[in-house]
Amino acid sequence: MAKRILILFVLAAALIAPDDLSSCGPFLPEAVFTSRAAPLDEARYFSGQLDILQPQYKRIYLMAAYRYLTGIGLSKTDQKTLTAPPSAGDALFYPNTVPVGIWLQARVTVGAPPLAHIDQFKWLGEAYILNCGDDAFRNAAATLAARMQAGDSHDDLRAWVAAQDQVFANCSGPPSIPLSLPPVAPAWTRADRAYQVAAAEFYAGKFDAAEADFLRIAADRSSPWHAIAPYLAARTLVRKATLSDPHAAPAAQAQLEKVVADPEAAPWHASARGLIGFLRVETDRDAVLGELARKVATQKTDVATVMNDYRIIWDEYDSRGKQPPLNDDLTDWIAAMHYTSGDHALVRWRATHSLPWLVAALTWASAPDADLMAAAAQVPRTSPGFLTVEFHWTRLLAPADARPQLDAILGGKLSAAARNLFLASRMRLARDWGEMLQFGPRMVAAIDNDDGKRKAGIRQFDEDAAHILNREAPLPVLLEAARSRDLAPNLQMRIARAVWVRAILLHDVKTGLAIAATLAAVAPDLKPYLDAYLSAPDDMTRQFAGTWLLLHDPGMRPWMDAGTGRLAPDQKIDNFRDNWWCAVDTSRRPMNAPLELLYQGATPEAAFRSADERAAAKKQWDVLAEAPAAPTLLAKQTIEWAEAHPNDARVPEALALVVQAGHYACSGDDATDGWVERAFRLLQGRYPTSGAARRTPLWFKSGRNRSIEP
Amino acid sequence: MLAACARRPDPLPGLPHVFVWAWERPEDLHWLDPRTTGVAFLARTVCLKNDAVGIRPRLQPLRVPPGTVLMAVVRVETGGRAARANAAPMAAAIADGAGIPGVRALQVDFDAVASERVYYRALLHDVRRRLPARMPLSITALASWCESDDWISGLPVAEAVPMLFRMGPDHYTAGSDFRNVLCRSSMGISTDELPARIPSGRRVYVFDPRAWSEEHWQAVLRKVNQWQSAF
Repeated sequence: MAKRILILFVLAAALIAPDDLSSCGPFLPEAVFTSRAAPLDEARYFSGQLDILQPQYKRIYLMAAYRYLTGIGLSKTDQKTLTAPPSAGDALFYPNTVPVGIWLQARVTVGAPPLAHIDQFKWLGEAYILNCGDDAFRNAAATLAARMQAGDSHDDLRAWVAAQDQVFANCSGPPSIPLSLPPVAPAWTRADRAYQVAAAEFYAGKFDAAEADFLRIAADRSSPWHAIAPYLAARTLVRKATLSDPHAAPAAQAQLEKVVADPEAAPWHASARGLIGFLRVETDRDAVLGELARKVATQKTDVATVMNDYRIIWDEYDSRGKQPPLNDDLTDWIAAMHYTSGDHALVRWRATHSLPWLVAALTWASAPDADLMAAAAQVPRTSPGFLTVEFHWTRLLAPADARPQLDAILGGKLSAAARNLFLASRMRLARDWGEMLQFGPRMVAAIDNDDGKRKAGIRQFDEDAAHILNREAPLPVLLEAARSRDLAPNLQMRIARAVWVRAILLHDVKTGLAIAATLAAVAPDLKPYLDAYLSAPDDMTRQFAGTWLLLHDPGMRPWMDAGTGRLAPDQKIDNFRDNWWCAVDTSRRPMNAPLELLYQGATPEAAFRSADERAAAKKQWDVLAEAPAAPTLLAKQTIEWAEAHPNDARVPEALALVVQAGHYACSGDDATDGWVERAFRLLQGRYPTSGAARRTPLWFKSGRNRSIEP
Repeated sequence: MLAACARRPDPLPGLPHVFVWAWERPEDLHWLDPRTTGVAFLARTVCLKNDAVGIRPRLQPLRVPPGTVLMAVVRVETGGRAARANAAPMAAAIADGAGIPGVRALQVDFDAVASERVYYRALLHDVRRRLPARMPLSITALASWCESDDWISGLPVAEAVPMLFRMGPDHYTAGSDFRNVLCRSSMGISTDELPARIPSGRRVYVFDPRAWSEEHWQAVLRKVNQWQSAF
């Protein structure tokens, strides 16, 4: 029973603090390589497979981790409870919950006029409260059934239902209190009416009257409600204390203690104890949090509810902008995992030498500490903390020592999320481009904000690999990568497309021709365009063949996207303007949190590059950073071709596509609007009857403030 | 975006030109000036689940000074699966949100996917029928609804509030305007992604990812006032 009241508290809190408070979208699908805030497989995690603990995991997951790291773990029952989907939402279905529906059906059986809906929530000027819980409707339906079974008169039953309707009218509406019955009425009807009056007063917020009436019922031993009435008087005081008068808390506490001390009230003892706990949270939150923390840390079974209560109470500190007292080891550890200033975690590890603090100290270590590293090396493979410790230990080791350790780990069985982080760690220590491409691709472990169109389980580049390939790889390296059969075909294609666009922007015809043949082989849709590019008799024809392809493929860009990449198919315009390429943003933006955990603020780099490669990459980068915006380039080259070849049948279509590019391209530059307007006027002036001109009645100024960090 | 746009008469006459969006968290806004600022508060979230409509009413306290103009916001969540659903129960659940005492307008916040647009249109017509004739109906709008497609034209709403935040690559260009006329009377912004400027005369809805504080609000208000006086 104690559990029940706590669970009710938990469910109520789940309603009060819904997880998703997002206000608006769009929420774009995002590849998840390693999840930041929650493990991807909860059941596996709660069974003790912690993988690499992320410090930003929500507290419920860190609680579970703490228990496994200290050797207590979680029982099967607790694991099941923690992974069960929340059921609170089901209690609020419109127009009625199941118990309300049952009551509405029951009441018409005695001739009451049908009612479609009873609103259980009352607006109190600041918020709704769940004023009438489902139990009230269950109780009403059961009582009516009992009275019918007892053979009471139809008129009395109808009057009983009418009074009960009045009781429930208070759930959401203004006060409506049934009249008491005269002494001549049958005893059962008077007893029930007294109870209905008290209940109506309770729902109407007339707490003093309700308390007095419940206590009167408690004193009337002939009433069928006398046993529960003391408990209901206590509940009335609890509600008064929480909704209107905090000074009522001591009286509520006293009344609850009377209930607990009364053997006759045994069925309500557990609920009363739960309410005592609830009141304590209001009056002595710090102590309650500490008690719950100790239970979470030590109670062997039936701990899931305690974990949720602990989480909820900590959340209340958050909502008040306060930090809870860090007086116990668990609370201190969770706070330290989320954020450690200075060397607190290291100090705590030195004091305790416990595995949780070893994990916390390693998580936030930016340099190897000899004692810490020695302790890390001793953690056995069977430990639930092994992968976390191994990840940070190798992160802090000298590269030559770390590589064989990482290779050994990667040779074993790992979850996709853990493997991705170890791959990232190994890529950070790559000795050449071969290793870079070996450890760069990662398996997408999940898709966040999944629209059902994108699947996990394919290899993509995470932000670290994309950064290095975009910023630090010279064109010949990328050309070779695009031809590498060791890479997944989708990544080969992604690199090949970028190489071809780079060749155009860098005026590198030789590379352009070389990659065009490769691209044509892996992208049949592009083959007709690329054949024209390859067979062009002169540079200008080749240039326009390239422009013609670009105009038809808004997914073309000189960069390799991280993650799932662009949402729209390559040859379709993306409605969120992710078309062609954006202006370069050289500011350092944080990568996703798991990669930041690895890099700790540093920028990914290919440290192994030769001086020649560095120079070539820098030269290439400088040209790309200054390259014209996509719509400017496309407009300029199209107009040049149109002026020279006015009778080319492709020209009107190309000009229309230029106008479209000006509208939808990721960004323009200072010259874009002028070029796009010129293309528009050329289209309307020279080819006014063409279908392309008719489809293009307007031109649009380009967006100029969009940028990406490639 | 088209730059030249005719000014519409205020579709929410008599209501303040600045609204605080108060989401589902404890919000104490007693320091607001009710003469200039209204509060659009999340009154309930309605969810479509297995063809039934669930309601999650606001359970967090909202404190506002006396006389504050209140707009009830009803968030709709369907998981993108409403295309074939019956709009009537959802409409009833939304319209009931306007029954809170003191509410002067209703705003629906629904990121309908393309396949749900027919449903959303029917839903709004149904909600409109259920509301008092004088109560304005507002919706929030993805920027793409206001610009690159035109499906919201003809909806029975007073305004569509383009949300200029969390927009992915589709950033708002300062000073420009939206194609659809429903989107030209208001704008929704977030304190963590304030645009450089917005056209004057717009009703501004301001969202804060954290709970509001008076200091934070005053800073935002100064910015809003700068925009209004810059044109």
